[in-house]
Amino acid sequence: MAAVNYEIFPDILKLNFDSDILGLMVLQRKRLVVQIRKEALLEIANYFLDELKYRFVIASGMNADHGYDIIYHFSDDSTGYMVNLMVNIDEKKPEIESMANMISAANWIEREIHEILGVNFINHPNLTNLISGENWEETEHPYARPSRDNKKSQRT
Amino acid sequence: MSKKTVIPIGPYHPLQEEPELFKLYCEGEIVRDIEWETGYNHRGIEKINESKTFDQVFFVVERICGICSTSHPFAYANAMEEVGRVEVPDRAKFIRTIIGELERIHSHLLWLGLAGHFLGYNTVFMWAWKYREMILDIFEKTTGNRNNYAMFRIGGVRRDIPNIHISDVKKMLDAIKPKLNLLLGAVMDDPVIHARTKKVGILTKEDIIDYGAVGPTARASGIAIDVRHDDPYAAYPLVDWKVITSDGCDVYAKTEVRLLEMLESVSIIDQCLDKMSHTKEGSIYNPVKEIPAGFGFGRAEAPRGEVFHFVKTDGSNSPARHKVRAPSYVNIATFKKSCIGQTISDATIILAAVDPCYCCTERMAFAYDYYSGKQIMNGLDLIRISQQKTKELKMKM
Amino acid sequence: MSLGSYCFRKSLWVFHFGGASCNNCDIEILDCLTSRYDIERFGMQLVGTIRHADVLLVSGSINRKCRARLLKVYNQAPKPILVVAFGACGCTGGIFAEGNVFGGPVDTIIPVDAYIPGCPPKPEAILAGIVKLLNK
Repeated sequence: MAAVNYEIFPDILKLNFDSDILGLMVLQRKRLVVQIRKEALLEIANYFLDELKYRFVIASGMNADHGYDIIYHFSDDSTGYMVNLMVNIDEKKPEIESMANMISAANWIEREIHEILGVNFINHPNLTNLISGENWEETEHPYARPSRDNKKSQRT
Repeated sequence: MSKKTVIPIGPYHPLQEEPELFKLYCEGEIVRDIEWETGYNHRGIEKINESKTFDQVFFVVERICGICSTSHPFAYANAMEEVGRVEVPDRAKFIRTIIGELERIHSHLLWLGLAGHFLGYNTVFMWAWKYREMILDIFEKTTGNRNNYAMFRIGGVRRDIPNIHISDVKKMLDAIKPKLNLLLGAVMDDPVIHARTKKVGILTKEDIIDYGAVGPTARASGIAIDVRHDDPYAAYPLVDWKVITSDGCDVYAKTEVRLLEMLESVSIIDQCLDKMSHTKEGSIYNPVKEIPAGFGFGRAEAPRGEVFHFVKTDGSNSPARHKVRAPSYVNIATFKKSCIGQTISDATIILAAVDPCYCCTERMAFAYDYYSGKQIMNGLDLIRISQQKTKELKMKM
Repeated sequence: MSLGSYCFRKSLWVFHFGGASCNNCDIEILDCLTSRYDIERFGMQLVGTIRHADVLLVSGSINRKCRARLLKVYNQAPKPILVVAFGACGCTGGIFAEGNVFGGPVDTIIPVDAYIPGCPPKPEAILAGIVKLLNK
């Protein structure tokens, strides 16, 4: 694995994927949040997993001001550095390319996000129930809240 | 085509979102495929946390898993301290580390006992659990509870371990050391345990990386990942210890890693107690006024591997989103690799080897004939087959 | 002598049903079996199937998915059977009662004979609870 100097790491990232990066946030010495275009997710994730040998930790899906945010957490175990790729998903068309074919660790969590938020993962090998079962209906998404834009349009 | 039998193992399995029903598809004795169904234990903890204040969340995350009831608050505290940029006093760091390591010993002993039970060694079960009581006594002395210790708060710990108690705790700890060595010798030198666990349930390095497995499961395959070492927190950088790994990749290697880790934990606690006695009594937390909006990524090494907590705050007094990833979430998925091609009698110990919590195999396991749907085996039968195999091996030796 | 007291005069066999529990209660139940508390000296034993049991021990909160399974297990049980709701979650739902998948406390699903509260109850409390139940 190439030794990466984390002081200049954000700049290297910008150099490699300039057009795909929408925002960069250095939170702490060892935490980086990168907002990316959702079309570029697989390419950038591949860069981290294959070239830099990061470990895929988990993904978290959440409500955002516009649609949903999904954060993919990656960890470099030799240094404890965490890179978090954040993508925004449109509420009207909640779709994103699945990562499960690239790394098996993403399989379960994508099914879970599909259940709790209703995000559709394209090309997922097995997008079926994981936790909901008889706990809630398939059409129901307990963690999803209508965003501010949607609420406004409902009111008017 | 030969007849395939489906053996469901499960469904009740008490971790956060991972109680599951395993279906083993068998051809004769050999497991050909494995499938799972979960949701029996879903409690909506992430959703409940969104309606709790930051301090209340500690008591909820403590009850995600009874065995890891320090690891989850540990990771959550790490996440919150990252958002709020809170410094923790040294004494609190030591107390946190002591509680965390005690939990590791009690969890590994618990696992060892159950693994022994599945192999047909009920003596190991009884002895390991007997010595586990000694750890619970230390817990009772230091925290007041046998389980669910409620020791953590943002910025420190809730209760101090007074200096006058340190020598008592040390004495209790010294009493455990010879018992751990005894168990170590008893398990490592036993030819039958070797025969049952070596070259069984192999997980290669590539499998581990692909499934993102963590903790002893990964360390037994030669991957030295340990959050305590990689992303140091609490008092781990202040004491001497090493990450235990093994290249065996099989069930035996996982046993070995856990046994040696217990001895390492005893040494960590010993050092922490020594160093703690030099810090000021009573300064156990820094007050926190408010938590700003932001992201917090907290990690802690639970007995089973890395616990990851992600907290998004919005400046109010409760989390906007709280994501919890328990180690078994990734470890259990490796069954797809480790079980296939093995015999049913080995399946029990392979499933137990990643320490997924025992209840699934202990409580409600039924075997159905694939075609008639008739029940032919239950959980006790599965354990019985496993115990039978050990008996036969013993006779041969 | 009533049928109930006749049935429960001798060794009680216990079937343990874990709902969506956090594991602590389950561990304390197993703790009772091992050397320090040794519940087997009273003839009590955990059994693998409800059809052999005199006592149904329910621990953990019950979510919607296991609600139906709990009913099924109860219906399979040979009657009379003693039902013990175990731990804070078994008695009331505890901390998880406000969750979005909570299926109701145990006593709204099946009749309960005894409650052993605590999070988790200590092994001594378990022994005390069972003794009280037998003397009822």
